[in-house]
Amino acid sequence: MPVLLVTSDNEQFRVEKVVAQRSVLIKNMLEDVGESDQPIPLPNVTAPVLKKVLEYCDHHQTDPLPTGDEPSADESRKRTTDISEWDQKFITVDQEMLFEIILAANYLDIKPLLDVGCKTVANMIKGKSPEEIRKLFNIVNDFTPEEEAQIKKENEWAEDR
Amino acid sequence: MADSRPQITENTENVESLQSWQLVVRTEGEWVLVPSASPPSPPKTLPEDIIVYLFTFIPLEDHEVSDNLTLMLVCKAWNILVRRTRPLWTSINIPLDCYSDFSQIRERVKASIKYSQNAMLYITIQIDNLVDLDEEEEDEEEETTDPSTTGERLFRDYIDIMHVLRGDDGCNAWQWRAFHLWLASGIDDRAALYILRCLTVEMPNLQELSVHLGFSPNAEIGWDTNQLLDIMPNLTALQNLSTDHRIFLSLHSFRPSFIVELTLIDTPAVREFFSIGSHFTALQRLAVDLHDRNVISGHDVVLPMLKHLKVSGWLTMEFISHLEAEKLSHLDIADVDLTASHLVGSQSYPPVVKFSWRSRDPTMVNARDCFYIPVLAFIFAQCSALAEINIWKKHQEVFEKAIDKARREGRVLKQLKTLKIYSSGWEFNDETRVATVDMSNDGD
Repeated sequence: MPVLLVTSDNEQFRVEKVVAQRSVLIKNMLEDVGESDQPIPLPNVTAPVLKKVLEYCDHHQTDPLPTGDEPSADESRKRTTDISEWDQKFITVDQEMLFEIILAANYLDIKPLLDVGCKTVANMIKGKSPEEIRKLFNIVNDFTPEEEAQIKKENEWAEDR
Repeated sequence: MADSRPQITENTENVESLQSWQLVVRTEGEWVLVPSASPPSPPKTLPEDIIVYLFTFIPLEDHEVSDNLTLMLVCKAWNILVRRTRPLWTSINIPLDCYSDFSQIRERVKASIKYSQNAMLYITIQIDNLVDLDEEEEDEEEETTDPSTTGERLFRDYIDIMHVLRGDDGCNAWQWRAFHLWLASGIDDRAALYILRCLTVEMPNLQELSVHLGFSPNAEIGWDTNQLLDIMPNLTALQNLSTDHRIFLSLHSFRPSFIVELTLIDTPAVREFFSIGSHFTALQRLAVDLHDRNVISGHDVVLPMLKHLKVSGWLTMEFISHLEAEKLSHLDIADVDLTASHLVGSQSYPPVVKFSWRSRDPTMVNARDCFYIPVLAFIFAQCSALAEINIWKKHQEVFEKAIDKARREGRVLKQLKTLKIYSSGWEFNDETRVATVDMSNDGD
């Protein structure tokens, strides 16, 4: 049975329930309202982003759902940043869309998609200098030279290992 | 006004800096570059909890705690978030060698303990390079070439590190999830022994243990083997404390020419003995208790003097075939679940003289004829020196058929003399033996 999703920019998406239910948020909503033709509003997601998210959900519709038994962030030291080939192609988007997807995955509670987004960003960060990271993400260096020097001084143990 | 415009040069850095400027036309028709209204920084659009979650994907095997400084220097917000992200601080790599700045390592360990906030730690201590230092500085600094002097200093450093890792107030005491110890050949072994003792008596939460031991033929600076072997029962005790977790003792670089008997077992009920010889060159036997049956691939294990191998669990025939043990004469298999894949690719087997089988019941109706008999026959065909087979009585029929099959298919098992039959007890000895079948002429 199809489900009707309505984005913040008022666009409607009719998708199969099995696809929509990759989102734990939507799954819970559907369970709460029962069988209904009522459209489901998604006020935090725009149409272009939802389109991408649904593309992911459609491709992964037969994957097992996360059980919740996965190790917590604290417990899993060796998180893999491996991303499957399909996911890699899927997530090859501009930075703005990448962060929009991460936000949408978080809002819609689609953990595997959130992980793909976060892994992608983590891979972008690894091996870069602070300046390179700032440039990559357009982050303003809000440290004064004195503050920067202070942090370096406090963390002398980390230098020239 | 002109001074505020960026100079366009071929310098890459300056060119890239132009990205934050935009070309605009002033009213008088002049083109100028002015600072653009920067787009919002994408990471700043993410909530803090997502950024913290994102950070947890950064620490991989090659991540050093010291890399965190990079993230801390990006901006004020990240500086705070990095300090709050515990997984970034739980993996501690401690390279201890002659080149180490010990005070720096100490501070790094302290920072890890502080920011990991009592989370379980993953610790790798790598002890190396003593020999390198000796070689490099031989001509320049006579005093540092003395291994005992360098060893003394390193030993003091190790102990100090261990105290830091333990924590003065005890709240961090041995909250380690994993511990990896790499020891190069020729190092002073006292610190390692001390560390292992600490590990084995005080770390009930340890889930992963890896000890890579170098080996030096030079007894003066090599391992005091008796001391090392004293530690081994403690490792077994540690395994008992960590019920369903992964612990292994890796033999990767352990090339003990003195190992004559090796027992690989994974069942508490059959954990056996630990007996050692009294001298480096005259050790009698060594049993290494492995809890995790998947950890030893065998590809790097060189045991030139190994004569008796007891195997249980999933340590497979593949392992045996990769074992460089040219003198292995007794292959003692217990509770091995053979599968055909274990035999694929096996080129040669050690010159096994005695074969003992206390494993899965090969009399199971479905598996007997189509699997166990051909598999056993295959194994026997590889073991050209095989002279004695020890089995339980209930397996006699299957083994006789397997022997017969092997002999019919090739000129093998010429050396086989006896098939010794035992009652179903665990021990194969004279008391439990119920029959001895003469097999010497069956092949002709």
